[in-house]
Amino acid sequence: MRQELEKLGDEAKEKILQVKDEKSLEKVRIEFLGRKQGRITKVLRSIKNLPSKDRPLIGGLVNQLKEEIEKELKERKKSIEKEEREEYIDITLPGKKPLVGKLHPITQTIEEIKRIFMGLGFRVVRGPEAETEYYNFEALNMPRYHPARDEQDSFYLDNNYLLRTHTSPVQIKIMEKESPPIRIIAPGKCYRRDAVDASHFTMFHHVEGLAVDKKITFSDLKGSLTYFVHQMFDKETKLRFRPSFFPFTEPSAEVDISCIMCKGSGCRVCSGKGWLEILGAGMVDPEVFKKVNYDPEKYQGFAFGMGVERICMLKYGIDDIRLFFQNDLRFLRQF
Amino acid sequence: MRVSYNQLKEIVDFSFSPQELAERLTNLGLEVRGTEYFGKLEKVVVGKILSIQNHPNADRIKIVKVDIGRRSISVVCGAPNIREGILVPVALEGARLRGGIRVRKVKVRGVNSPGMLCSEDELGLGKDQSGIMALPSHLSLGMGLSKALELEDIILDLEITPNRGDCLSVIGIAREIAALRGKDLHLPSWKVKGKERGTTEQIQIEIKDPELCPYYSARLIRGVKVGPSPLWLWRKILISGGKPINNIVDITNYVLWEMGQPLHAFDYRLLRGKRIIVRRAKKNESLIALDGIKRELDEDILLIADSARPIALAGVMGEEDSQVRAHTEDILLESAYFDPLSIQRTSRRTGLSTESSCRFERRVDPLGVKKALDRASLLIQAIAGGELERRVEAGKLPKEKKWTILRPSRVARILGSRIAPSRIRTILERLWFEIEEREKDWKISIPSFRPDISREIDLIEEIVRFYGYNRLKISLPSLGGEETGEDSEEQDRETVREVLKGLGFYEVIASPFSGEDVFKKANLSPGERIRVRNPLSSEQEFLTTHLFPHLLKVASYNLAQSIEQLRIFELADVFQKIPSLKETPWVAGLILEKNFDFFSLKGIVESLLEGLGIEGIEFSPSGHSYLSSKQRASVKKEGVVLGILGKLREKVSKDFELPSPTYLFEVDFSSLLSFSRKKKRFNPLPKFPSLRRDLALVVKEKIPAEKVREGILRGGKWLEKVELFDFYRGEGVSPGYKGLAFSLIFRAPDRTLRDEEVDKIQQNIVKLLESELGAKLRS
Repeated sequence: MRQELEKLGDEAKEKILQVKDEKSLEKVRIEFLGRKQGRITKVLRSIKNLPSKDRPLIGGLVNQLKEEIEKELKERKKSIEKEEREEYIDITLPGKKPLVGKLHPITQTIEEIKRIFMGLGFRVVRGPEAETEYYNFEALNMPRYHPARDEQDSFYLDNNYLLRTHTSPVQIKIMEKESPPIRIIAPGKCYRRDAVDASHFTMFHHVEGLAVDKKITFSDLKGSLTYFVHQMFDKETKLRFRPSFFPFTEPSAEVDISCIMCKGSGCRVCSGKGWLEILGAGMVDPEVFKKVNYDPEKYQGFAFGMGVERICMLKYGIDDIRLFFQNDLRFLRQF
Repeated sequence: MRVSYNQLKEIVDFSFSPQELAERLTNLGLEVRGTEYFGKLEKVVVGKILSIQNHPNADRIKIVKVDIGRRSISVVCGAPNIREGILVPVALEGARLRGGIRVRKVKVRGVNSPGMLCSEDELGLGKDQSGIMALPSHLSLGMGLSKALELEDIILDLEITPNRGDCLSVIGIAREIAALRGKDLHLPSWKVKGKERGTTEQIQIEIKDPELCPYYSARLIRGVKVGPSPLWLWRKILISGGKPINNIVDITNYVLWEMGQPLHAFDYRLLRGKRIIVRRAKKNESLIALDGIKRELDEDILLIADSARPIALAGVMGEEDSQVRAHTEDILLESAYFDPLSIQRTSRRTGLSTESSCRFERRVDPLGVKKALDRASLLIQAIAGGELERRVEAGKLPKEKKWTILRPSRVARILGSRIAPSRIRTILERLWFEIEEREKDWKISIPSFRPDISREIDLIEEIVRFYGYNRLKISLPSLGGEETGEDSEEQDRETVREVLKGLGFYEVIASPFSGEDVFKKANLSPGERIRVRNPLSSEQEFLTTHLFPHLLKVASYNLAQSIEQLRIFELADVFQKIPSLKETPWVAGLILEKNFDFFSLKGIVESLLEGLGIEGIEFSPSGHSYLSSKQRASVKKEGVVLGILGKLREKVSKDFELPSPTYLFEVDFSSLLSFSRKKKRFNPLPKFPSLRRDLALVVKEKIPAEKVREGILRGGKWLEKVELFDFYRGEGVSPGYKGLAFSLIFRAPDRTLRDEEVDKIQQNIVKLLESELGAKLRS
């Protein structure tokens, strides 16, 4: 009898806990404590049929159980009421956002380029934007009147300075200060005296890379840039190295990647060619080594350069370079 | 460089389709920018203008009757150069013109026009759009234009790098194609032997400056008939991208294009003194070149002159008076070798970059100078008639470096991939290098048309160019103990950006150029700014000395786009003329926001410095003219000014079309660098509890809160932290005074403090503040 009572109590308590609203709670109450058919009420009624010596004990137990259940019911009722009151919020109201800013897409792209090359053991260095002709041209094997030295395209400043046209001067400055092995990338602003349109701006960002040691080869250049392209875009991107000319590298290469829009089948972005030019590279010309007093018989290495805007535009499908420098917040927010 | 597919096939045997050829050339470093059909014109026929009548309803438009063979039609035309009797291209209904435009039957102001007369430009045959294209008079009327002119061809448009002057010629490009398979070239003849006559007395050549002009040759051709070029020549001039002028000029231009040697023809009778003098220009001398523009010259410019006056800018452009005209009978044909630097200099000084100058600048083939003269002479004789006199010359052709050394082992060392010596040999020989194998190395003779090659590394490039870059292995360089990672400056750059981003700022990037008006509007003194010597506009006259004017412009732009609140910053270099040029990185921010005040701004600057681990900073009054005099401060550490902050002066806000208040800060990034803390160290967490006391004081209005705080710190032992938590003026505090409430945290490192100890310390603090600052406990 006692065991049965305990079982009954456990069952009642279990049901009370599982109930989610007041209506069902009332059902549970009726099931156990209902005046006519309540299961506990029935037990209470059946006490009169017990031997009189057992009546007080069992009666006490049943009453105790009844009180317990009533208490549980009351508490559950309270908590259900509380839950119902709390639940009333409109979750479609706007969230309260903490103020968070964003970095410029060019900065984000430079950071990504940095991260990839740091993974290959490159160090990040910077240099000034106002340079001398020596560092911007001569030390890079572009003497005065060299066909590749286009002074018309440079902004000249007071005291014979000019705004650098690439970040390549940084490689000269590092080589002047340090001896190999060297592995650096130099990101930064550069300037070209160009008419402004959707693909030209007077300012742009350039990342120059340089690796010099005793045995760094053209194959190493191919490997490093392949790794870079696969990280920056994806592993399916194909690379094409084709001969080109830069005064500061020999052999020189122009590096194309398979068009990231059409995957090489030809579209508007790649003007139907299937390839996009994104990098210039090559083995450092011995003349450059001579300028910084490195023995070209002892040391060799590669250098490369890329335009950050171009990569960023390809990566995000931006079609006008001027957007970068207009700094429209509606643009900046998208990155 | 535009080159004809058909002509290349005439010079060298190959089986590549135009597309294959384009890819081959691109992979040799001769990038093909594009290929285009030339002269593929359907429904464009030869017509003859029969009559021209005025349009009844329009002044400038005519009604032109043209004979197109079996019938004649009337079309409407507005071109200025139409005349009765000339032959013109007539595009009939359905013809497709340049840019895909379809010709339709139209009605022009009430008059039907079933076709149109076309310009070179409209047909895609040339650049001339000034009038209707005039056709040679012997063509049959009604014949398809492409067929009549034998136009159809494919043009490859190549981008030639500055080192490959030799490929600015059809023959040069054919040589590269031939080298792919080791084929021979079928070159035109330049043998004048037996076709010359007469004497050399007719002309005297004098080179006054052999350094700038090592060699000059010329040939007199008497009795030529100047006229339009024959069709084949006329077509080739169009293919090359040029404009047909007359047979003589067209021949010189054609030979330049074919062989890469610029030539010039003078009207011999107009040369005074029968002399050619190659000399530098004199000061104050001037010349009207063929473009009709008069130019003042100087001593750096090399001239061709006769005994009286200049007749050409050497190697760049001829002069107007001495040019070959319709009535010219005797011509003097020039072929010379000019110093590349001299030509560059002239080209820069005069702003003239011509087909001729860009070839001389890149060094022409010394062995091609005489050949080109002879080739052009023969063509002139064949086309325009005339008698060839003997070549006259002066000076000596320069000797280019003839040979260099190649160590075959060096090829693999540079490339990282091995190429068999036999392959190396084949490649070099096909490129007309001669090889003499020696014990340790190879001696390589360099052909005269490759001035770009003088060193071993140049040969290695030639080898890999033909071997194929894409066949080389892929590897990564092994680490050799170089320094890696980022230096501390780079780390600090990242920190500054990350902290400001976290504080809700958007990063902007602006160019450093600035105009006079911006300096004025921003209330900046012009004193130490750097001037740009060759700006493209007045907005680029100077480099900026401060970052904030650009931020104001960006804010103003965004406001105009209905963006109401913003926080923006920039980290960039500014430029000053101390002593000659000083470039320093700064970081500046701008806040335009509701419920923002000076102290919100100060908090941002404090957070920024905290992010870099810079502690112990002080704020003091500053005098920056563009900030409001009531709300501006400098931030310093150990007496060094790190930057400034404050509310923008209302006048400046207004001038930049910004509302007030606009808040700004500017921090000198390089001074941050010297103070930023690189290494972080852990401090053990306290083991004993702290005691907090609040201290409410009343002090005179003018006493800065920071002074009171310092006083508390000085007076208190075990004080861990003192913070102002309330500032009060008004009821309960007499006028001229203010209430300040501080919370004081006491903690001993080694035990729990007792209340009585702290009470005592607090009493001492109050006493000290009373005596030093006249502060009173607030009751």
